[in-house]
Amino acid sequence: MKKLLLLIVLYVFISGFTLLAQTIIISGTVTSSVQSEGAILGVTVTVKGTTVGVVTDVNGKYSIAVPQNATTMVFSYIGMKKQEIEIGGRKVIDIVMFPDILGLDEVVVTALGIVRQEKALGYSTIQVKAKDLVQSKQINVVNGLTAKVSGLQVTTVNNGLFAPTRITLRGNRSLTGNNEALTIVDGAIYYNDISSLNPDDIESINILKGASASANYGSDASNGVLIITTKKGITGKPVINFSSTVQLETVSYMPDMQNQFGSNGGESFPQNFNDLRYYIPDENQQYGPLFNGKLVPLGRPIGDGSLLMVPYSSLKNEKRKFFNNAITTQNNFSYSAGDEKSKFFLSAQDVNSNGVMPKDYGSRDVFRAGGSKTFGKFSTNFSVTYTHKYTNTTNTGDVYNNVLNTPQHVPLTSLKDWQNNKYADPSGYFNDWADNPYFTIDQERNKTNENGLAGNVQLNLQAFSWLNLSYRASVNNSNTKYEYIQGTAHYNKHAQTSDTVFYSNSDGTGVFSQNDYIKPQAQGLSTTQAQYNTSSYSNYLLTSDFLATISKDFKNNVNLTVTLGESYIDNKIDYLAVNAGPLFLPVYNINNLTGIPDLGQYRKQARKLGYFGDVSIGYKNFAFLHGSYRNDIDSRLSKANRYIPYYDIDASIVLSDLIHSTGIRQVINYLKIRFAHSLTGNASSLGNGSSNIADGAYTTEPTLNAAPGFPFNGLGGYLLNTTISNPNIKPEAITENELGVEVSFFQNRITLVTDVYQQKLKDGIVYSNTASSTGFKRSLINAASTETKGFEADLKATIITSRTVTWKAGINYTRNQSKVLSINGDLPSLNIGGNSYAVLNKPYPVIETNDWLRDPQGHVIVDAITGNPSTDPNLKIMGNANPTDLLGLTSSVSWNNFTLNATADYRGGYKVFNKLGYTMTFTGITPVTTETGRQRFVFPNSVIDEGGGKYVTNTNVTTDDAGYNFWAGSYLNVGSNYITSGSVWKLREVALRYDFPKKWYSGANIFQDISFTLSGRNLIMLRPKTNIWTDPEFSDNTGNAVGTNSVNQTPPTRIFSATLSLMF
Amino acid sequence: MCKEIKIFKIFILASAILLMGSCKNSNFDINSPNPNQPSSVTPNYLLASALASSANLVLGGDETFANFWMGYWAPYGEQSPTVLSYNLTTDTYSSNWDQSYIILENYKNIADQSSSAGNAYYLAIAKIMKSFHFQRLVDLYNNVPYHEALNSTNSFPKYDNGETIYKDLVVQLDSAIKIIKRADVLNTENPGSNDVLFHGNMNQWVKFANTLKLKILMRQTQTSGGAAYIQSNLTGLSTDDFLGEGEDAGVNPGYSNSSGAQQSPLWQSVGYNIDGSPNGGYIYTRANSYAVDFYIATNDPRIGQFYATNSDGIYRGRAFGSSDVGQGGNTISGFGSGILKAASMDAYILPAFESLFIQAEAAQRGYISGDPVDLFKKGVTESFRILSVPDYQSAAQALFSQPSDKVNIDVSSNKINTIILQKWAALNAYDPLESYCDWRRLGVPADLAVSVYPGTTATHIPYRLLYPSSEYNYNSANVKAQENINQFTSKIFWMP
Repeated sequence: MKKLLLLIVLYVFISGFTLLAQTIIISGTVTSSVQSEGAILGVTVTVKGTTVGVVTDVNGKYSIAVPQNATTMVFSYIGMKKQEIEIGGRKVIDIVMFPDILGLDEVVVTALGIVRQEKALGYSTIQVKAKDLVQSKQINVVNGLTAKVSGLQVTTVNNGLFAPTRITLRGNRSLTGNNEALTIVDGAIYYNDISSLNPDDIESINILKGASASANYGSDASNGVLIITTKKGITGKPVINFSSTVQLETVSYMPDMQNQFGSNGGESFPQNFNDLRYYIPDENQQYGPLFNGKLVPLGRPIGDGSLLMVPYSSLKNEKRKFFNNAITTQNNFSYSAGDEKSKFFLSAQDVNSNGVMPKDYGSRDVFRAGGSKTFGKFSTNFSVTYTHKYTNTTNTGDVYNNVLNTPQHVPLTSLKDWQNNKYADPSGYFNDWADNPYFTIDQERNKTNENGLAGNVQLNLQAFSWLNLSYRASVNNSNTKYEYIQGTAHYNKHAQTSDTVFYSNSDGTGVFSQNDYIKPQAQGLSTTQAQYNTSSYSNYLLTSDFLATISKDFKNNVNLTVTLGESYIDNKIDYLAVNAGPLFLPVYNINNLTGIPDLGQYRKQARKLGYFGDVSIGYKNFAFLHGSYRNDIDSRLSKANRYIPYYDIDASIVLSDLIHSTGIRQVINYLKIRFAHSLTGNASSLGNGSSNIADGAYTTEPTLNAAPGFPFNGLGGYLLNTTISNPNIKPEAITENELGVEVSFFQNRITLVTDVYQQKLKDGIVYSNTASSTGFKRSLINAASTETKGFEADLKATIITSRTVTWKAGINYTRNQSKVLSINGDLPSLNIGGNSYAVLNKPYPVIETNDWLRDPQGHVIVDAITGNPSTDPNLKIMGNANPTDLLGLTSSVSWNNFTLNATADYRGGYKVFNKLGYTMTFTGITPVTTETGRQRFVFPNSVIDEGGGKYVTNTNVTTDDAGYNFWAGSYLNVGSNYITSGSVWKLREVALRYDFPKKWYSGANIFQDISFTLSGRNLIMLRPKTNIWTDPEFSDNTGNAVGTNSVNQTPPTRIFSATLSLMF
Repeated sequence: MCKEIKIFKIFILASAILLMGSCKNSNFDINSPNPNQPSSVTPNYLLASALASSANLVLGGDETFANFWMGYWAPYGEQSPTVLSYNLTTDTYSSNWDQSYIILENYKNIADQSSSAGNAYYLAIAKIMKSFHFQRLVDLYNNVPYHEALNSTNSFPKYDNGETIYKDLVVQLDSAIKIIKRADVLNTENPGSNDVLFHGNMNQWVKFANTLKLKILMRQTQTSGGAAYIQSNLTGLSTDDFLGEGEDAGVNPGYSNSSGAQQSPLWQSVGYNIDGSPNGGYIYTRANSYAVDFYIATNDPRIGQFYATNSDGIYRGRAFGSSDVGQGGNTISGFGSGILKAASMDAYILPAFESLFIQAEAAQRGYISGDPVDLFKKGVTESFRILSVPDYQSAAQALFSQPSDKVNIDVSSNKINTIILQKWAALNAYDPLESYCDWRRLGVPADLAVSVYPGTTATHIPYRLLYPSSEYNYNSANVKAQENINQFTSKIFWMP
């Protein structure tokens, strides 16, 4: 009951500032019983059983409009006893608040739904409430967490529909396992994409930053937890909320591009001259002559003999214009109602979204019903959610690559109509080396269709005053169907057979060469065949928990709470794929396939059961000791390794309770010191880092695979797996020590929470290579170890508070440093995907790529005759790929009916690999290729090797080319040219909300609240000048191998939105 | 109160029922067996795939590198200078090593599972194929892990002396032959269609084993004390015991053009995609001028089977190591229909002509009875047959009736030389590794071309490959216990 009551209070607290139609005004002053403290600022004054509430001002005064039928007022304040006062017809109610000796008010939902007093916690948690999460109406709820909390790093790795994110707490620990935070929704583990949730359904997100806080999750605990609590209905008159949002997304930054030179590929043409370059009208590379504004032909003459002529000058904004101004609409509806015994919540959300990529489209519909009911000592709550998510996108990488492969003078956007414009269709499009991107958009589509149904029920029995029993079961079933279609491309006879033409003059007058080169895509082809792939994936997850909680206060000021329980997970995955390959006709069904389809199927299942005990002892309500112990039985592991213990021990002491000097208490009103130590696990490496436990099944036994090409016409054949299976594999073990200080000044006007932590991982799971003379290539072993250290601080302040203006601001700072202590024996480095590596004694992960050959001082060595640098064959470490420093700034100002919220952040201390640079150097569109006007140059900071370790500064030997050969032939291949600092400042969100004055509509007696919000996201991004490429947050990978972006991410965008919210 | 106690009881009961299922330990034994892949299979499901893997390595894998060194093929397009100048690294052609051992592990598994009498044929086949691959490993690397190899519990297998391995291979082949001969035909499982090499014909396996044995023994003609050893191991064998005319050892599990993975390995490697367009291997692998010039000089009609005409309608090769970009893809000959017959063609791991040429040399040296001249002529004729030369018998007759001792054994004063030269001429694309061994053993062809890559200082092609990086990285103590390996000076034990 206590918990329920507190929940009600929470609801009331959150939904404050609402006035009802028939009201009376009550005012008064709140003072402290402690002498010299006087009036108290910030006391929450609410009307019991309603959503009405205000906060006292600096003089302790309040004024609140209460419904005529209201009977009781509630006064609450951190560190003070909550009071309920009968109104009894009074208009003025002055009260005196007393220091809260028992301090039961502030409670936190911790791991497994165990509710604990905040002051009793020995580890770091932080709560983000609904209004802070959805202030800018983002579609993915985690975008609302970005930059608001220390220790939490949300990385949005791409644009696009339901953009993927990576969420880590306190950085990385595991080399090959999952390092992302565990997500819990209403007590149940949630494996689905968090972007499938409706942000408006979320009541709050509790962040358990460290492994100590989450130790009750055992082998799932090491990465911290996001505990998401959904809305379950409120007590009082039924409330209907309706809001509608329109969002506009536009490209904010394109990569820097040159605007001087046009088309010439360069491969077959003389390069060793700098003055004369031929104009090649069907080229996609831009190593041609300077733009001169004259009319030039674009592409080869097409079938009817006509030739498209265009001005030979740069169209600077053409590539940005290619991308859409995307519109997203979002409609939210919710109904909530309830009384003291039962509550009900119903919601529906519809999101329809266009991408900045033309014709990309997505939608999400979420329906949810939830509620609770109390029968005496028995209570229950439930929720059911149906989610439908659909995306229809093109091959982003191909399209963006082709857009960047378009010379700057090409009027790309005028070639959109490839069906009717003869210069835009596959046969007539100017580019001999790549398709018209508008054609690709229509030809290649990826569709995903996800249906999810989740149910959650919780039963609770307060058997005796000292014994609470609860059982929770949750089923989450999602099915996703993927389809890939690639349409046919038709080429006319002319395109199949005609030769290219080269012009000696850039105006297209002097034909000097007729090359027997036929449009490559069309060579002898009238039609390229259609392709079709389809697959379906289903994920079933059952979780159930049973908890028995015994709580007892003893006479000698000792409080004891013991929780015993068990937690069960059953996860099943089913996958079936048909990659049909070529079809006879563009009718996208596997019945029309021409060859043998490529088939794939797997079924996986894993179960896990944890037994746990959790003991908490409080002394005089200021000193607390807590410990938990858990034993996991994991079906993925062999029987011998199934019983693995995990534990946490933590303590906290509220030192401020020991201070009796009122002078000090006036400055420091709260001071808590805490310490935690834990051992947790991580077995996700078994499933290559997947958070689904089923993905890690079947690694302890050997497997055989069907041999290549088999079965041959009914003849089966298998080959041994080249990985030695390991029956002794066990989860990675992570120990964490954390020390925290929480302090509040001036009656909580300033609060500061700081933490230092250290995590050590041992038994890290890696694939260890073996000599193939053993008959095998690798084995799975427990060998790696890592260390992560960090510091976190959250400073919050109420800077101004008056009747009309309130300004609250926060700063959060995170420093996180990781180090690889060992990989496997003396193995120095391990590739973890792409250019990301784990390297001994380096942060994890680092980016490695090749570099120019350099002298010991770092100067580039050039050839004494050609002046050309050469490539060092060894890969070099370019830097760590994760930010070491994160700074978040939040501000919330309210003035009369206006509220302005803003969030900004900085991330620094890391490098990114902009693979976009490869494409852009190949095409010659990147500005560095024109810095010397394509004239031979002395390579900057270069030296000449004189032999015997002697290097002389190069002052006069120029590169032997400054066109295609140098840039696309040499510079292109050196990865270090595309490494930049990842440092970035971002203005993440700005939201201005206007609450319409109640007097405007209160007469109509329909609306309770009307507000209008204008918001913007990613408005400003400040990067170092060297990062001319893209948003450093972008990454090809949401796994551990972060930090490498490419053409698969469209340019960064800004989002503007307008929301109208109505409450009935 | 009463009602509440009732609820309490119901609650406890419901929780207990719900949880009881999950508490049983057997509920956590769900991850064995794996529902997607087998964790063990009987030998019949391993044999076809192991034989197909052998064919993949020999005809579609790194073993084909010898085609470049032996003057048959020349690379076109961008090539690594280290390859063109024989500056081998520990990664050059390293899958010869890595793949061989992976395939051998599969044969070992077949053998381990087939110790019972009922599976005698599988055991014998596995032993024969182990010998086949270990000989090729010794021929490329000399000392290699043998006795301690292929064991998942020994991560650091020691190396065995090449000669010791060779000696044991002969013993193993003798033992395999004995196993086949002693097997009770009625009660021994015949591999049948799973034997994608001889389709369960165990007599052919015996012949194949004898031929391998002859091949192993004949490799040692130039080692001191070899003669007596060779002779003693060939006692009782006649030409009838070896693969003879028409008896090609060709793997074919049912190659077809239905998918890329089902194409015959050589076709898949340097042939055509399923839509009929030339694949990357075809485009970037061209005729070598050394072989083209040889066939032209000897009026050998097989040139039209080995190679296709170029864009000018003639046969033109390219020197190994040439960086002449003027010799574009179309101006150099590609492969002919005798090499690329069809996507469904057999993958020959020991063609009949190879056996006949080995027999011819053995007969010439007096190790086996038989007419070396006759065996030589049969070898040439069989080469013409397998290449589908029109009227192959008369065409072959026409070739070796010419006066030159490059083709005519009757007029040859050095019959061994003529045998090996024509063996070389026939092995083009079929078994270049055998040619490479003959060249290292006997120096034939004597004027074999060396890379023309600018800056190449090599005076001859390398004698061996370097141990692969997988050994230096993961079995370093044992590989470093071998002498300092130099590809130009370190010899295989059987080299003079």
